[in-house]
Amino acid sequence: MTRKNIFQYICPLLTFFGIWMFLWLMCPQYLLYHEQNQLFLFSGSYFTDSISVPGGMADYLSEFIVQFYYVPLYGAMLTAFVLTLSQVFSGLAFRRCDIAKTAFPLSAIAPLLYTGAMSDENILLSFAVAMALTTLFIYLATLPGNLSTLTCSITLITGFVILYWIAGPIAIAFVIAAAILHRRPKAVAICIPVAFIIVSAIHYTLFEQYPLSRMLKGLNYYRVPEIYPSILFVITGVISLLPLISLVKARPHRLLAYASEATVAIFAVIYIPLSFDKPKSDILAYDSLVRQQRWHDIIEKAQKENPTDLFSLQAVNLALGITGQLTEAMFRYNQNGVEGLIGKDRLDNTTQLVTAEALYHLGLTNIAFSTTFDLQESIMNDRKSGRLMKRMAECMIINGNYKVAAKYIGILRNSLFYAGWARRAETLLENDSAVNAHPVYGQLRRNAFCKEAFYDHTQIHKILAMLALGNGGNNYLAWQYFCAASMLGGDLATLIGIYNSSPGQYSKMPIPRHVQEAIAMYWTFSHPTFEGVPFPLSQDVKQQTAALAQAVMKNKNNPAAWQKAAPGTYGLYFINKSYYGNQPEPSIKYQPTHE
Amino acid sequence: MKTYLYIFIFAILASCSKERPPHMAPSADSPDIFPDYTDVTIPAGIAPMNFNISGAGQVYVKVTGGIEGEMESFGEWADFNEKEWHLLTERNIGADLTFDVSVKDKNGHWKRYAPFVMHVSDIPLKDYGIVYRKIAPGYQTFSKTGIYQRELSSFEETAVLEETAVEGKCLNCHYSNRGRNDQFTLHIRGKNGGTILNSGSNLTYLNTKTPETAGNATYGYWHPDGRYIAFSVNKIVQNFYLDKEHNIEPWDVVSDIVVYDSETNRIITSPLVATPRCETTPAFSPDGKKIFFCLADSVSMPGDYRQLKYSLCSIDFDVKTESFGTRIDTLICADSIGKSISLPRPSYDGRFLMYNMTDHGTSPIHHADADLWIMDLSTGESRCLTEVNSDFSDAYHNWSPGGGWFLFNSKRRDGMYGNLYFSCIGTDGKATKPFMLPQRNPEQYYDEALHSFNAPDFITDKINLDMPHIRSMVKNNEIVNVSVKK
Repeated sequence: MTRKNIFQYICPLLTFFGIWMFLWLMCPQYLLYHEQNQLFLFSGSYFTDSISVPGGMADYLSEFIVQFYYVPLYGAMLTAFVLTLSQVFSGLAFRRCDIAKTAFPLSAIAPLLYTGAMSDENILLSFAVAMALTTLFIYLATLPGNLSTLTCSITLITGFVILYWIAGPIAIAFVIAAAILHRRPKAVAICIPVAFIIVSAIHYTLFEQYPLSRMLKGLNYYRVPEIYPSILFVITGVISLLPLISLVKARPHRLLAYASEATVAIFAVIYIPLSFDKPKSDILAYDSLVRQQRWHDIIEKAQKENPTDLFSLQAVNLALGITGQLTEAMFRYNQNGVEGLIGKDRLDNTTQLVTAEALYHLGLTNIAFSTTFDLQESIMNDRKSGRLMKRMAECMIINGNYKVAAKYIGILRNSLFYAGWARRAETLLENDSAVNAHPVYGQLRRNAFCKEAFYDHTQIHKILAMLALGNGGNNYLAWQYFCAASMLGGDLATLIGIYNSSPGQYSKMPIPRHVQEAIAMYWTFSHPTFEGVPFPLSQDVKQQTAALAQAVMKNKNNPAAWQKAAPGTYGLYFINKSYYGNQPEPSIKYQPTHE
Repeated sequence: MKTYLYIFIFAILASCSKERPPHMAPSADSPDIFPDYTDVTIPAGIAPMNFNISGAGQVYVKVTGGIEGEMESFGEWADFNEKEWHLLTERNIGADLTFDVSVKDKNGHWKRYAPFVMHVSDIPLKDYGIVYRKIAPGYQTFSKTGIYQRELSSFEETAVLEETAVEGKCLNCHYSNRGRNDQFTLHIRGKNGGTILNSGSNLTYLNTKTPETAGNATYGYWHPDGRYIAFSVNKIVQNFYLDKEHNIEPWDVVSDIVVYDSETNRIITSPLVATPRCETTPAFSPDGKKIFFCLADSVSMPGDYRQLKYSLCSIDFDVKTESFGTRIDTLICADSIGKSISLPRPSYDGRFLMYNMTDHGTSPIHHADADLWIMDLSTGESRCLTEVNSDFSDAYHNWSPGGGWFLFNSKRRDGMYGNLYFSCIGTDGKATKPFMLPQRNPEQYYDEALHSFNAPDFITDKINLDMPHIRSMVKNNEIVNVSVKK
């Protein structure tokens, strides 16, 4: 096997396995995020809706693939395959030029750039599919051999129209690249204005409801309509201009081959990992763990690195709550107010995800439904979400609104990964006894808030108290959240008042460690010693609280000393908050939203 | 584009499935059709009243006119040929259409059902179509939303203005002058938001918020002369219920009534309708001399939300002096009925006033108990339209400019997603059984639809907007400030 042949086989294989492993092992959370922002349906209307816009076939194919992101191993493999295809077609397109064959590894630049660009979770796979289709068209355009300028122009315009419809405006790269490969620069000068006129005509006649700029930038390459990241222009430029290497009149040279290999290697090793920023990856990772209900993994992750943003904190607190440790261990982590438990309204499709999960598990089904509904509606490219629609259906089943549940279940039945759940859920419709007997839905139905009242985030601890104490007081998660919200909000009077008067069956349980710390802290406000405290506080809590009080008195401006005296305690949180207020939230670029 | 694709696909499917049932006597069972079109009254020329039968493999329907003519449909559902359908309904005005339905189940067995009828009304519905907003019945965010128009005689739906045209903006209700396609307003919310006013000759983008008024123009109603528009200016907030029986409670922090003069670009106010109380949802009487509206005393919100009850009131308006009357007439007092009234809509012939009644509040689409009521304006007597109401919200009604027909939004199918229904009031003052907006494949359409039809109205002709102009106005914020008449 000659060197060039080796390159032609090895390079695509390396690209394929490299991207596959990277996506699967290093960033499955990105794949899951994409998957939960669309809902591919095997239905005629979904297909016709998709392909009735420019680039629609690429959207359809990409959304077909993205549904497999539900299982990141498969999703990563299919994505790697699509990206490798664009490399293979690029390579095949300039197969006749010796120098180009030597520089074959450069054909991996566009796929690798795209892989790095995936760090922007709003760049859609549709662009990658459009890339593959474009490179296929470039390759097909090279098959006829030598063409005159006129024939070349006609071929390119015909190809452009077809490709524009199936893949979108990246089709312009086909025109440029194919003209270069045919060495017909005049064809570019003819075809680009004609292409613009064609796009304008399509816009004017069929798509007046979109701005022309979107017809030129692509309707669904990026999830947020008003934005078009420059990296997509760069990749389009690379695909367009890479064939320029076919014009180099140099003989194949081993040095050039090594140079091209080195370029690609540097790209792969440095550029891609550096593209992914850690805070965002962590947020998406926490969300994916919550989605998969991997509560112990969440706690393990937080133990390795204390979360700093509210979103991750909500995930950790939810995991602690579900595993029954919230009021025992929450202050080991950087707590930051009640929003670290349940977020206020932020109308985007990321930051309320964990809040929606917490509301659901707590039994605030109505609010969980409305939050989830809004999350789905805030998907910026107007897609629906399998994850969220399933949750909406669950809420409707719990609420006994079976007709709305049936609507969502009917839609989910046309999906691949939610169809099994939908079939099982269908048996619950109009069947109250089956729902009541269901281990999750039945319990959440029994936990439901029954009193006619409004949701008010500023009074969340009181709502949680009613939830915990209502329905026979069998909602320990709500009880933990009530205690936590009271402590985080500083309303110790309400917490101790309820503990003192009517904690229902929770009075039979030992007072959790952090609640003891809160009681101890509250007691020290008005008492010099712990003598006479009406709750059974552990000696350790008393000592730690006293030590903290002393540390604060002695070192008023030295938080490190406070930390040393009572690490991981409510007292420390309370003192820090009293002196410095809530910690500023780290700067995170939240998703834009429809409002 | 989608339309052509559908036609192509349907044409292929239709050509594959023409099978007549064997001769057999009809059973006593009625077919379980969706939508329930049995015994409804329809206008001649309406789009084919296609329907589905649950679990059917093949459906054969023979329609026979009470006066003359017949037609057939074969397929997975009853899908009538548009031309034949129109001809049949036109030939049978004032008579019945009898539907003889046979169904082949999945095992290949045919069953013939007892026939049912639809009545073709002799009251014409001559409007081109209807206009409505499609929006997910959500809470604080929305995905794709838009104002659409739908031809009544066919299934053709076209966008008037979609959110994609003015990206990131929420499109609010469209209000036209008696269904005119060239006189309407619609609101755009969000950054660079405003009100698009098509006054017949001009397209203007208005900032209706002034220092002297409480908020942006919200609910609107045109004066019949096409110059004035009554608006309520509202600041709306919503509360979300915790219990499963309820959902959202929108309410007005402030709401007043103003009249906008499109010629002078000024707002006319009156201290009588700009008070600390809540005045909302105005509607001019057909002669333009009076404004009907709803009025509630201020209560402590959100705590006393159940005490928020609106009365039905009216106030004179004189176009010559451009002034409101000097007193408010209370037509129905909320205290006396213990209910809340909203959305008064007089019929254009001046016979009736249709309105909503709920236990409390101002947003009937969010109240399952919202019912349509009708007042005979000659006697002042009101009655509940029991013949059209359901157990769920029935609201957002509007009259056809031609009279008789009205449409409304109802959540009767599932309690959440609002769909459109039509009914007609005859000379006896009774409303006919309402029918759901026809769709080519109704079951598929309504099952898959994740939007509500919001704020529907009739339109006499198709609306054509100058999209580049609108985009430019919104994008460049080419907004005209409205002032208050001193």
